[in-house]
This record gives sequence, C-alpha cells and structure tokens, in this order.
Amino acid sequence: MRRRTFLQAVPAAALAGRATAPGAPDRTVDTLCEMCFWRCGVRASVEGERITRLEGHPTHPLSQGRLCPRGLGGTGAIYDPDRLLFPQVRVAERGMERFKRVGWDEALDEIAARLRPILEQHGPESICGLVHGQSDSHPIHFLKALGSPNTATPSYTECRGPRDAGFILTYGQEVWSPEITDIRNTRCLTLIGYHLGENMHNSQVQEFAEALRRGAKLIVADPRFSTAAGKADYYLPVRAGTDLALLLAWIHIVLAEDWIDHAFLARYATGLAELREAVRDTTPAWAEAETGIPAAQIAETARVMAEARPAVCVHPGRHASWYGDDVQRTRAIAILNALFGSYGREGGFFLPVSAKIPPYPLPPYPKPRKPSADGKGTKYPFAEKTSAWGLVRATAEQDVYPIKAWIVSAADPFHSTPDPRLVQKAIDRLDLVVVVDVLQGEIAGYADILLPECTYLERYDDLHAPPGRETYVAVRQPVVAPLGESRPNYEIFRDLGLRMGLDAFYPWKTWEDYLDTRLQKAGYSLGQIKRELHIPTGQRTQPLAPDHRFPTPSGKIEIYSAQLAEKGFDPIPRYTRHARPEAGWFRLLNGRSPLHTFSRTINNPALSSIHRENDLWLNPAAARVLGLRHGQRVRLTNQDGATAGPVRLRVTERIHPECVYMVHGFGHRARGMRRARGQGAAVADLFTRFQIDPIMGAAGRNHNFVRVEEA
Amino acid sequence: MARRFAMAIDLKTCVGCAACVVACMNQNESFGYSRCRVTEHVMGVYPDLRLEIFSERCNHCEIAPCVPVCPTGASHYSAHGLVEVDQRKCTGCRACVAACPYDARFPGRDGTASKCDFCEPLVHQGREPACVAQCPTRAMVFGDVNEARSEIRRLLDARKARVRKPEAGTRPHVFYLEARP
Amino acid sequence: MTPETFQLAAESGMRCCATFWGLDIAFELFLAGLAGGLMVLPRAAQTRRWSLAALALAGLTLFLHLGQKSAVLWFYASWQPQAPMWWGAWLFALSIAVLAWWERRPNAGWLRVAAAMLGAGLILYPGFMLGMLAARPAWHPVWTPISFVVLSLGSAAALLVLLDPRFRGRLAWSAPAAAILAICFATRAVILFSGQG
Repeated sequence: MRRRTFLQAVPAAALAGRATAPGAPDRTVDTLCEMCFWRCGVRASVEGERITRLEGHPTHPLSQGRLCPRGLGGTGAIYDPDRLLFPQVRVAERGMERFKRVGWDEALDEIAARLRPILEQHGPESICGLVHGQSDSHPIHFLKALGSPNTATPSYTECRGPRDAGFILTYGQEVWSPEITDIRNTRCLTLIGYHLGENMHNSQVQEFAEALRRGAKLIVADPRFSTAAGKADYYLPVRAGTDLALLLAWIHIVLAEDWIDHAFLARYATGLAELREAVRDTTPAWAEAETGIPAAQIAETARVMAEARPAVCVHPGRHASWYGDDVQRTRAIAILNALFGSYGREGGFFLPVSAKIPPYPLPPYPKPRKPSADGKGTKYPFAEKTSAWGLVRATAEQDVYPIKAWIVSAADPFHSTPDPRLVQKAIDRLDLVVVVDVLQGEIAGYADILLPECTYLERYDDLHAPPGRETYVAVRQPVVAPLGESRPNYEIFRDLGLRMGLDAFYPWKTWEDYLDTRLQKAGYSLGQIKRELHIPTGQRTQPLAPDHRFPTPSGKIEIYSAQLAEKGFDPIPRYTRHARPEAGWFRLLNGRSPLHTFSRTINNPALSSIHRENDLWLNPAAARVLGLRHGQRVRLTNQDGATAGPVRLRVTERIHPECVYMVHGFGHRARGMRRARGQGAAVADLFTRFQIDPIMGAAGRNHNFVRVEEA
Repeated sequence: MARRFAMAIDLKTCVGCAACVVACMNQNESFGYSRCRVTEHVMGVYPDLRLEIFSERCNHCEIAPCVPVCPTGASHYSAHGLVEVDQRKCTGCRACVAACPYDARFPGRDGTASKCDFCEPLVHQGREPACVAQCPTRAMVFGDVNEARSEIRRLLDARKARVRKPEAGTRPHVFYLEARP
Repeated sequence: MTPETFQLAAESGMRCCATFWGLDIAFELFLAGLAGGLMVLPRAAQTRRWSLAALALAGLTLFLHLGQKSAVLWFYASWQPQAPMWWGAWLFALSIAVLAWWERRPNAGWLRVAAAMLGAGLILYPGFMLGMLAARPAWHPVWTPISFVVLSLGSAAALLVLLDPRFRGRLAWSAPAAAILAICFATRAVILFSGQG
C-alpha cells in the first residue's frame, strides 16, 4: 500500500473538545479473511482477548490494505451472540430445532458409533459430505480417508461450475478463483450478468476501479441495471436467458467485419471454419428479436471491444448456473475472447501461476468402491467436481446406492441446492445428519448431532497458494482463542478420524505440526509465515509463449470442441430459446449484496445492521399493472405453488419489466438466527424449477416464474 | 494558510459497497452505529438510466447550520474549519440534528450529538480517516485543500466536482468528483 | 420526475429521515404554549398555578428528553442569543421564577407585566425555532410561528373555559373546549412530525 504521507501531525491543541481517542491495540495479528472465499489478508487489532478492529493487510495481494464491507464486519461473525458454542444432540424430531448440550467426547463417540454400522452395512459411499469454505478440506480429507467418493461443495454445480467447464473445454484450464482476468490492464471490460461492485471480491473490485480510473471502456449486459451498469459506457438491457444470442451475434459481427486476431488464432486455435459456418445466421437483427437489444447497439459494442483487442476482457463471470445450458454460454464467451486474441495477453486473461508446496506425506486414500452418486464423469461427462445437487437428489431418491449419512459443514442445502422439497425428502431418508457450523441455520435444525465450529478468526486452515499473477503462500492463523467450546474443523475431524480408526491419515500431533512440515519441505517455516502472513515464492505470470500448448486434447484453443461432439453435445454453442414468463408472471433473478455472502452473514450484527432484509425489485410499469406500491409487503408464488415472503417491494426502474430480483440468502426461519429470522425472503424457497446442464450437471435455477401479490 | 481538511469522493469508482459504513462502525461506534451512509439515486426510465451513488457523512460545512442553533455552544468550528461537538457541553437537545440539511447528525450512544469528525484522532496521528483508508475502490481521498501539493487539491483542480445540496448554501467540504467530464 | 432514492445505513447513526423529536417534544411544546398563552391572557393572575404546573411539567419533559442531562446547566452558562433553544431555556427558567415569585407577591404589578412578556416569548419561540430551520422546509418560516401562536392562545383560552366555574357542568361549553385543547396538542404533533421522516 502506498501510505499517503501528506497528513502531518496536527497540534494537539487543535483537538480540544475531543474527549476520546481510540485505544491503541495491545497487538495485531495478520490472518486470512473468510467472510467470503477470496481470502484477503487481514490485520486484526486485539485489546486483551477481544478483537477490536479488522483492516486490510497492507501487502497481501488480494487486499492491498483494504477490505470489503464483509471483511470489515468480521468482528460481527466472531462476536455474534447467536454463535454455537458447545456440541449438542437432538432431543426432538428432526426440524424441531431442539437439542441438548453434551460434551465433545460424547458427541464424537456418538457420531462414530452411528457411522460404524452405516459403513459396515452400506459402505463408505453411503456417507456424503456437503461442505464449503476453506475449512472444508478437513471433512473432505476425513471422507476420502473413509473411502467415500461423495463430497461436494455447492460452489461447483450451484455456482461456478459451468463457467469453469466451458473454459476447460476451450482452453484446457478453468477461470480459477481469484479469476485470471487481467482487469487491471484491460482497455475494454465486458460484463454479462456479472455485477462487480455488488459482488465485492476485493482485489477484483480494486482492479475494476483502477480500470475505470484509467478510462477503460465498460460494457454491461444485464436485465438488471446493476451498480456496474451505472458505471458503464454501454448498458445492454438483455432479456434474461438470452445471453447466448447476444454472444453469438457478437461473434457473427466480429467474424463478418474481420475484427479477429488472425495471427493469434492461426497459432493457437482450431475450429475457426466450423465457427464461421455455425454463426452465419446469428445476425444482430436476429439477436435483437431474442435479446431486446437494438441491433445497432450490438454492432456498436462489438466494435468497441474489437478496437481494444487484444486488451479486451469479456468476463466469464463467477456465478453461472442459470439456465441449464450455461456451459455453452461460457463457451461462447471463451470463443469471443479467443477471436480477440485476449487469452494470455495483457488486458485480457493472464496465465496463472501458483506456488507449489509439497503435500504432507500421507498414505494414498483408499480407492472408492463405487463412483460418486451424482453422475460425475458418467451421466455428466464433463463434470470436474461432484455435484451438491446430485448428492441431494441421489439421497432423496436412493436410486444409485444407499446414502445413509450426511456430514454438512458451512453449507446449507436449504439455501444452496434446489429444490427445498428435495432437500427435505433427502433428510428424511438419512440415518445420520451431522452438522458442523458456526451458527444454527436451517439445516442445523435437522442435525442429529450439531457441532460448533469456530470462526476463521479463531483457527488455522490449510496453506493457501492461489493461482495468480505472482506466486505466494499464505496461511490463516488464530487471532484469539476459540470462544466457548467451539473448535476448528481440523481438530473435530481428526478426533473423529481417530475414533474411526483412520490413524494413518492423521499422523501429525497438532495442526501446527502439519503446517510446519509442509512449509519446511518448501524451505519456509510456520514461524515465518505467521509473522509475514504471505510469502512470495518468486514466480510470475508469463506472456503466452509462441509454442504454448494449451492443456486441451488438441493442444490448441478448441473453438470447435471435438470432445463435446463425441459425447453428442453441440461442438459450437447453439442458441436455444428458454420458456418465457406469460403476462402476470415474472422470471425470478437473484444476486448479491456487497454486505453479505450468501446466507452465512445475514445474522452478522454488524452487517445486518446495514442490510437487514432483502427486497423484491419490480419495474414500475409492472407494479402499476398489479396495483402494487413501493414499500409494501408482497408474497411470491411460483409455477409449482412454492411461496416466499412476505418481502418488501422495491419498485425500481433498475429491473427489466419481465423479471423480478432479490438478493440471495435472506428469509431465514431458523430459531437460532435471531437477527436474521423473518427478515426478507429466501429465493431458494422458490427454486423448485431448474434445468440440469447435461454437460456437467449444473443446476440452472432461473426457470422459476413468480406471481407477486400483496401479502 | 490555515489547514482546511476536506474529502473528495469519486463518483466514477464508488460502487456503494458501504465498506465506509462498516469501517466507521469499527473505528467510532459499535455494531449498528455508523456516522456515514450510502445513498443511491436512480434517474430515467428503463433502460435509459443514470445511477448515482453517494457515500455521505458530515460535510464539515463552512457555513454549518448546526453550529448557530446549538444552545450551549457545544457545536463549534475547530481551528481547521472542521465542525466539532464539545461533548461536555452537549445537552443532547437535538437542535443540531434538526438543523442539518444532510441528516448527518444523530443522537450518539452517550446521548450527545454525534456525527462524522473526519476521524480526527486518526488524522491527529497523521493517518487517514477509517473510511478513506479502507475504501476498496480508493474512491475516497482526504487531505488539506489549502495544501497546493495535496492529492485532494490536485483532484479538485483537475476534475469537476459537486457538493450535496448546494442550494442550502452551506459550502460543504465533502466533494464528489463527477464521473464524466 | 423525482429520482428513486435508496440508502444503505446502519440501524442507528447517520440515516436519512430518522425521527429526532417525538411525542414528548410535541407534549412539551403544547404545555409551553399553553402556559405562555395563560400568561398573556387577561386572567393570568387567576391561572398562575396552572401556568406554573404546565411549565414545570414541560420543563421536566424537556429535561427528560435531553440526551446528556448532566450538561443541562450549560444552557445557562453559555451566551448563544442566535439559538432559539437557548432563548427557550431562559424563558422556561425565568418564567418559572417569575411565576413562583408572583405567587408569593400577588400584588406586584411589575411581576404581572414580566409574566406577560415571558408568556409572549413562550408562545413565540417554538414556532421560530422550527421555522428558522432551513433544513426542514415543511416547517414554514412564517406559518409555523403564526400557527404556534394561534395554537397556544387557543389552548389557553380553551383551558380558561374549562376552569371557569360559570361553565362548570355545561357540556355545550366544556366539551368543545376540551376538544380544542386536544386539537391544539394533536396539531402541534402533526406539525412536528411533518418536518421529520
């Protein structure tokens, strides 16, 4: 961080009347944030044993001295009065949310005693993990050591999966997190349904601001006039679900006008001829009819992008599980970038590097007896990771093989995976539900055993060496001791693993031993990383080499995908029209608030004091027809009769008249979340209609149409 | 020339994330209390819209309506032109709350009038106000407008700026740099 | 077309449109106006104790409203003649003193004059206090003071009717008087809230 030095000390006499100065902290501790999953560096000030303040770590690459509002509000996570602070076991029917306090040994003995017969009778694959966050590595390790193939994070099929699959199919490499988009150096940034600025991934938003300051062109296509749209040079009010038509029209123009990077494509890509053939008819005029964007505007924005090439970044977004054909949508984004020659070039996408830290020496995991129950690699041939929805489905239907136990950690399927009725049905089929979490959310109410995980400010996690422009390794470390009897996952699952006879997989004495062993192998030490937080390991991103081989089957950028063709999918993206809502119905869209991360921060006393409840965005023209007023409470009903609300109505011009919009994560019902309970509505309650992407299994949930009525 | 502290906020890069609101909570008050806020203003009809986002706080007006209405003289101008509250003298009558055209003042937790003080204790240590220091988009700049070489002076000279409610005639010292030239 | 406006603000602290003066202040303004009205009307001497009681109750309400009660003496240790509330604080204190003194010296004519002058101040200052705030355009700089004077005199007159033995038990007189009294309070509250939120 460049410390501004223009402020010289002001004479104390000038400050008369100011009675208090903030207390100087006793100490500061540097650690990694987990208010979202970007993993910024945090500097925590501590007075006594209390964290008084969190700030961005001055040199950590992802924070650079700053934190987003969620990161700054992390003290609200640790000092949330609703935190789970001791282990509990269920004393009434599942869902009644009634528990009794027990000791750790009793709780873990109970879990082990109930897992053993399940293992013996049904095998390790009958135990599933639904997990999320950096501490998910511990339950995943535990389940893999048991021999289960069934661990999933909702961030794959419910979020980023289609995007990453689309890029892997095209470039052989995913988009990663943090994204490999070179926004900092771009001359033109195109966002399609991606709301940077509401999605507050710290360094990416910092780069976004930097690009705006430098005068980079910004094109935003979104049915909602997002914050980013408010900054855009070109706002394209695309009809929801028609992004692919827009993209194909752009590709059509770029080819027709010959705005492509011939040298780049000749050297690195394959399938240009097939592309020309496939997009012959996807003209701007055709796209206008589909998207509602004037053809001239489509052509104009294509030109603006082309003029910036190769320093143009058509951003693949992050959340991309929308309609069930999202891999193809992302493929079109990948192809457009290839035409501009922006991949591996400054201002487009950089080639990521990451620090290689040797793993802790462990025996190989037992080979699972059966494939995962979600259809990864079989039914969904290009799935890289297990589907959370797929596991919920397989549990509810019990049609793959018996699934008898869930271990859920920091991932609430009621908020993350469709459909809520399916989740309920799945839970009813289980012999054992273990929930490990910080707060008692909806899923916790169904736990047989409910374990208190400590927050990110009270624990280590595994080393963090993300892909980026420069390599480094960083570590989360405890700032203060865990509150109450809460414990970190590495202790919880080690204790459980030892009870299950998995001693070979837990050879370390303490987690510090584990971390230090790994770091020593790389020439560093735990002491060093605790002091420095992040250690640069010396590699930097390189420009695309002339002989660069992409990790695809052909070694080239696959504009035409033989892999897809072989499995019977369109080798070049083809537009299919999605059903549109009839009059009186609205497509339900959802997104994010800069102050919240999904459902997990809604109860945070700092953040919820600013954003306590979500609201339903509705266009004024539609509100007039329905006779609804701004600020009144409304209830939503979808095609299947699923309801949500009441929720406050926000009548705003910022939303396409065919859609309504809500921020995801609100509408908690759990009694254990006293601040969040009854505030706003849960979009997930309305996710009963969804289409599964046949390529990799993502659950596209924008097929829910709702009626809006006075509550 | 005497120092004159001010703030400039770039309408081009501010995304209204409210990091300033949380940073303020951390620095000055507690969960649920903040001395600043973010307002969003939407103009036009879909899809031809304009969105303006303001990170707002006490404007430290040159002609501050909150100062003369104070019945005890608790509200006053500091040596650097900042508007301050002497907490000893403040009865918590809320006359200043009523007088502020920006709704920038409010009853604090101790009952006295509270508001943004540009983090004077931090400024006193040569640091930036908490909101400025944490703004993820670096949209906020703080400094002495009477210092010719300061970043804020340079920005205000180079770019068009406006203030909130200029018609109130208060001469605010929180400036908003126009997004477009 | 008026722009749509939204705010992201903490529950407490700097928020648009928060209410800062509630029903207690409406009550206090009503009582002060009532006392002021009684003090300027012809039967001021007979209603002295009512004025005193109303002022004491108003003062107490005001005091209880203060966020930092320990600072109350700063009202009297400051010289802030440009601030209507400073005048209000002095008017309260002086009026109570004068009325109490008058109670002990009922025949002192100059106390009667002083009470009338202070009463005029009491019915004038609240309207000016609100009307002078440019930040609250709903409190009109001319109509607010005028309406406060009218409401003060109206409530005082109504109370005089209620207290007058000639009208005792005569519903045709006392009921409208009580209604006027209630209306004077309610109108004050409406005016007070119209400038906020």
